[in-house]
Amino acid sequence: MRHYVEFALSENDKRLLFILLIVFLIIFLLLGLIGVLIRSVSKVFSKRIDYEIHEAVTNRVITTPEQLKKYGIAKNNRLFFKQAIPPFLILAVSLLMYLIYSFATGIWAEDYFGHFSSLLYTWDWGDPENFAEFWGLTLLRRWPPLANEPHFVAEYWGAYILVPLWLTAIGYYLIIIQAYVSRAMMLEKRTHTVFEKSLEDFNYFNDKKDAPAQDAQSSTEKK
Amino acid sequence: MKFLREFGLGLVYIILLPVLLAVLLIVGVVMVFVWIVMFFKGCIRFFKGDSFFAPLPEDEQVEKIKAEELRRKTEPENPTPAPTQPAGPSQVYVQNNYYQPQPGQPNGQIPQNPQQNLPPFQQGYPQGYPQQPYGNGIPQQQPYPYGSGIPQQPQHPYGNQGAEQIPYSEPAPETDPSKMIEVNVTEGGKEE
Repeated sequence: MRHYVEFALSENDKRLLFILLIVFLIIFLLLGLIGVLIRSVSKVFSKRIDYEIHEAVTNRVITTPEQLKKYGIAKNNRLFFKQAIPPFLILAVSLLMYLIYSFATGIWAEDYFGHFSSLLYTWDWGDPENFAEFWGLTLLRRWPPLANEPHFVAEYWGAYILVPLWLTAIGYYLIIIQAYVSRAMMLEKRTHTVFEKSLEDFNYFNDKKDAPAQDAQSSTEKK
Repeated sequence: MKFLREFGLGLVYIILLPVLLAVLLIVGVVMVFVWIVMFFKGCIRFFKGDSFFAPLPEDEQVEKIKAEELRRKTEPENPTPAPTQPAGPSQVYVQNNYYQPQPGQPNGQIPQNPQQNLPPFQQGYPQGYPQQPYGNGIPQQQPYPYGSGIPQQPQHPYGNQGAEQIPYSEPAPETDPSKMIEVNVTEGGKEE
């Protein structure tokens, strides 16, 4: 005996399903494009290590993969050191600002990011009335009401200076780290490809000219 | 098609993004310490009077190779010696021999076979001597084989017949029409 489950969607459910499909599609596309961006940026960054090790490799100064790896790591570290100077300088300046601000106000622990958010739009995401249950999923039913409009608070001037400096330094440093990792990956690849001995197009019976040992052996046999 | 492939790889990157971010954070924290160590090492070297980074041996070798290449380019490998001048002063003597017309021949007419008027024992030249078509009188420059700068006049088989050696001076071309004589020569060599 078979059991049938009656499956019916209301008009409201159909609309919600359609919107959900579109949202998923947009997120899928956006994620793919962000991935493409990360990949292309990594490619651009990784080419720099070729420039750094090019002369030593083409002049045959480097003779082994181990030497290439050691040399490449040293070059990569030095390049990282030079590239990381600006974010570290920004961090040093922000540290100096923090010390001055804290000495001036006498408060050493503040919610700097919370203070900085007074310059941003904020919405009330905590209200459960704004969400709905759909097949076990909690979905946004309506856009939450605005909790804060951008406004300037004079007492938060320290946060207005420090938070942008921190965000800039952290973002800058993350990009440099991504470049460093990309170069390290490319270096690892080069240590295998530069000294690669490939037999891709070689055939023992076809390429007689590439077999001097065989020729030498045959000539000694004749003698 | 290529875009779809890139898009697919982009999605893979997004799927692996948490791993990538974790790697970035770990490397970022480690590299902070590496940067600090490099900074202090470099500062110590700098205040000792050296360069901030110690020169890598591979870079030094590359510099040597490049310097050697540059030296080879600027200096030729086998420099050609400068041409040496002869020890003495170089003087060129030109022997002006003038044709002496034989009696009975018109002025300016060259005998067809001047040797036929010579005695039989004087006809012909010694073996190996370059043939002179006009016998005596007409100067002919011989290429000098030894290059000493002083031309040696080949010994004339009939002796020096009034030749006078004078120092060479560049003759100015005669361009004055009043000093030039128009001579019309018909076929047969006779003047009109």
